[in-house]
Amino acid sequence: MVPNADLSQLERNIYKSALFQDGLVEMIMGFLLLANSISPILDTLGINLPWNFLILTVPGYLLFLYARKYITTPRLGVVKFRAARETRRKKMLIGNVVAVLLTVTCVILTLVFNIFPSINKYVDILLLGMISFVIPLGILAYFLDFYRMFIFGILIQIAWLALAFIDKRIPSPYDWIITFGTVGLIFMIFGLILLIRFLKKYPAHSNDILIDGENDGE
Amino acid sequence: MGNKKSSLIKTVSIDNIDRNIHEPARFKIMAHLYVVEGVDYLFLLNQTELTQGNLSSHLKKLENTGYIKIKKEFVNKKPKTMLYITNKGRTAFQQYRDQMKQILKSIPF
Repeated sequence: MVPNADLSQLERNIYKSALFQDGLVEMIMGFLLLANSISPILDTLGINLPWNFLILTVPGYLLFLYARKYITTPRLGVVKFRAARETRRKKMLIGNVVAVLLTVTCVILTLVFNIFPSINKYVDILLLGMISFVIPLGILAYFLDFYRMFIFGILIQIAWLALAFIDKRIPSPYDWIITFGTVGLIFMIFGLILLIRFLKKYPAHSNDILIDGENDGE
Repeated sequence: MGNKKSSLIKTVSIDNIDRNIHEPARFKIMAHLYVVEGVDYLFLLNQTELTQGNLSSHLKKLENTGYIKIKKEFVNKKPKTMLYITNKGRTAFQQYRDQMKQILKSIPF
């Protein structure tokens, strides 16, 4: 037995397996991008922002919470983390708020005041995407110990660049469906694969398992 | 230097190691409970990959030594068998780690 086994690594593994093993986060991220990709269709039907985005994303969030409660927890079990992890979560929240504020400021400065000089269409998108998605999601990934979140930011950046590239070659809303839809689909499929793997690995336990190994009849 | 090493071996003998923790399955259980606030039985079963019978017997042993406490709780309105490490268990686990570190350090390679 290894006496000085890395306990902080063990805690990190427990945290990751409790929160990110089921693929639901990837699925919700993919769902958000898919919703984003078809929001221009609702736009043409007269349902504008933010309603079109809310109509598409709120069911996704509800589904996510439902799946966590009724699929993940009964199979994986319950874990309560220590105060240090909770502190890290609080730091993550602060980091998240800072990232959002940074994003909003940059978007306002760019769109309203046109403060940043335009260099080139692609460079502009690259810079704006870095500030709006890649860096904030990178910060979030660091505090959550969930590095796929950073890849998610890079894929959004790629989708924006692809959208700029096919601009006017493919009419709207198809350009959005192709770019953001593809990236969203990649994440949805990846999440689905993780979910299937999770369901196979952890069979369902409808009742609490007692120490003597028998199920507790409710 | 040589005297220091031999005195270390004398003070931390392998015979004095806590056998309640030294057993691999119980070490696994204690390590998992040490790094979190508490877990339910199912979570520990999944994490340790022990069989139900094996896990249960080790948990009973650890509970009898006072290293862990087993509580029935309601989490999200569902009954759960929650497992927590006690202060005694935490100290014992820390002590075990320190002892093992010293023993391994004192072995000449």
